[in-house]
Amino acid sequence: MNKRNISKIGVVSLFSVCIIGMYTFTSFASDDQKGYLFKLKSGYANSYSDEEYRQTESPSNPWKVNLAYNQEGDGCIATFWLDVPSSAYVGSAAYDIKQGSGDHYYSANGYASQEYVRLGAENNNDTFWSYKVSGYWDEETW
Amino acid sequence: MNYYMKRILNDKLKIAVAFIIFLIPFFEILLYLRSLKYGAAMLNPNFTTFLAGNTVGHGHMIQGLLLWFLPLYLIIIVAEDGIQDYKNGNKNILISRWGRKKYFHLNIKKSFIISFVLMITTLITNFVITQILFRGGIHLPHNIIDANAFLGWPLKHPAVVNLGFIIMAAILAGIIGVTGSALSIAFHNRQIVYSITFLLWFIPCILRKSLMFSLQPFTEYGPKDMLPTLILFISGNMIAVIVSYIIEVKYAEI
Repeated sequence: MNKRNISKIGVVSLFSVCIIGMYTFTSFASDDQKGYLFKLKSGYANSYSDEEYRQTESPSNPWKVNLAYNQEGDGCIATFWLDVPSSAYVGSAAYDIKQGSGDHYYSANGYASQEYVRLGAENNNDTFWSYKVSGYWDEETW
Repeated sequence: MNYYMKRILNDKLKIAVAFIIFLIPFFEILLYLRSLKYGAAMLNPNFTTFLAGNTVGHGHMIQGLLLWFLPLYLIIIVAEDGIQDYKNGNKNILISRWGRKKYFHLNIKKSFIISFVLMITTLITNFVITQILFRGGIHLPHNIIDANAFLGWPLKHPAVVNLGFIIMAAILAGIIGVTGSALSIAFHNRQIVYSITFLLWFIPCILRKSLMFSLQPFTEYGPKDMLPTLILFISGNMIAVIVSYIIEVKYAEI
């Protein structure tokens, strides 16, 4: 084998390792901070974030939500759940989250596995007004 | 009192509307039972009451159906006779029997009592039924570990909190009944009676610190947030009653 062939083999191997590595490592999810920003509507109407693909098959892989800002006021509460747009069922129970209380991790159910999901939210109060909320969420954390 | 009870019990529309009020919380229970079948978590019964409004989904529309339109139902039951009396001349007969003041006072008293009793019966029945149906439910509508989502106190005594809000709802219903009755005696004009009673209810409900917060337990709002709107509601209604009294007793022609 001459030098040229060795370097060719080297480059091809390097590429292969990189490409295989890329696919191996993209199949793991991680605990991310995905931003959301929308208005909580009046009369308990629902609002939703953008969709993300929840690739895990395990309902115990928790989704996460953090209510960083609530225009209703500091310490005010909003109700969140994991919504599955393609399904008649929701992907988790609904939880009341207080603004400023940090990250909350909740398990999902089987309807959310390997589906496109989104963060669902509504005001916990029966109010006439809509309020902007924003914060972070992740559709799966491991 | 007996006289008015007889009139109400003989009037099919009034009985029907009273039944509608009584039945509305049952629809919410049915919707919650359906969502339990589809895998929702069974909540602790204290959080499944009608006023708590924790059945995520269409249950909220049912609360709105009763609470936002409360004056409509109550006026039909307790205030319509003030208008009917005027139109069919019965008012003159009753006034000659009792006097103007007593006619007014009797009507106010009867309206408060009937509205209060109807509301408290409806809500206590709902409370008892949810305690029985959802006995053994252990979930809270929020993760119990995140108890910082609520004040600690209501979480520890949820039954007491429910009963307190039920009494509050019954009192507010009584006040609506009183105002409707007073206005219908003084003005005996349906547009005025319905629109003013509704305005006195809607405006406090539409404020940012809504009157609805005084009807919904287990929220982030406490007495400090409820009080200003309650005072506004009560004073607005008091003024309407006083004005009606003055018009009826001092200025009405016989």
